[in-house]
Amino acid sequence: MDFCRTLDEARLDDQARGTYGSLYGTLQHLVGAEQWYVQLLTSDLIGARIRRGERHTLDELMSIAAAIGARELAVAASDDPDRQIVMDDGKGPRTTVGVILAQLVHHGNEHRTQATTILGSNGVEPPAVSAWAYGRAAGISETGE
Amino acid sequence: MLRQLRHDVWATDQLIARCRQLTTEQLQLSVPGTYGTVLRTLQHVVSSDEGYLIRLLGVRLHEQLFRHEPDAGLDEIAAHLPHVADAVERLFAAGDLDGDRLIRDTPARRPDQPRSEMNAWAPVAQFVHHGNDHRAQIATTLSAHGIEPPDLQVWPYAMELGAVREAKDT
Repeated sequence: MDFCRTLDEARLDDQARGTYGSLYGTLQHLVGAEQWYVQLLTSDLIGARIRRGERHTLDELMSIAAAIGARELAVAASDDPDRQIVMDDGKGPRTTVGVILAQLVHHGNEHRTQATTILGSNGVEPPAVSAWAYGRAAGISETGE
Repeated sequence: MLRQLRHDVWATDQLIARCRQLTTEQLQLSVPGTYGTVLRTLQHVVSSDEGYLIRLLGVRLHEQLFRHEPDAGLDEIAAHLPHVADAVERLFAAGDLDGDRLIRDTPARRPDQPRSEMNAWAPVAQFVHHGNDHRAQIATTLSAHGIEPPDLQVWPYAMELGAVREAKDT
């Protein structure tokens, strides 16, 4: 999202065949889904509910994503991965904290790839978002891609 | 983390199974903005998985390294996945992984390659990111050509294992 903020606003409507939707729609879906995962994990809604069809600014999405991310890390650090969770307000299927966290990682990864595919297919070099790149950005790794 | 890696291996296995239903021509499909053809991307996923695990375990998984081989067929790629699955289990056989353990080198390094040091968490996190990234590219390629990709999310994997199931009132 930080990279996408540097793009012309119109690029947020770029698309690529076979992906989820527009660049903006994909980013919003990604943040909205993580908001839902955190609500499943903690019962807390972080930020205003992100609904499909609504359009927020990237700054708004980033602000909500930062708060959600902090909560995700807190859950991962302290919660019991085997703790049972019943979805859909206690009426849905039963799962565990660990499964939801694993899905959260998978889901974000999958849609970020779609976002980078949209960028790449529209002639924009996407940012490096690998674990290698994270290590370099955090100053704890010198590994290349 | 072990479950996350097991899901990763499962997802690649599911994708290979789906690819077995494709024609030779369909395996050569690609779309702009992705790594390459379906087959080359799959080879890249599995060979990279082996590379991360060789670094983490400090031993080769088999005699001949499975490096970037653009001509590898689906059977050859599939034959390497059990090595990946076995190595994942070996990695966690002694219990939790120490993410801060410093890995000083890899047995897969070529003589002309510089040596990299890294903490163990980095190749583990990269393993998950990398497979996910490239499987999503293959799913995009399939969808873009009107081929339904398999559902590789954690939900179906967890349901298969009974870790997501219908809740019974207690």
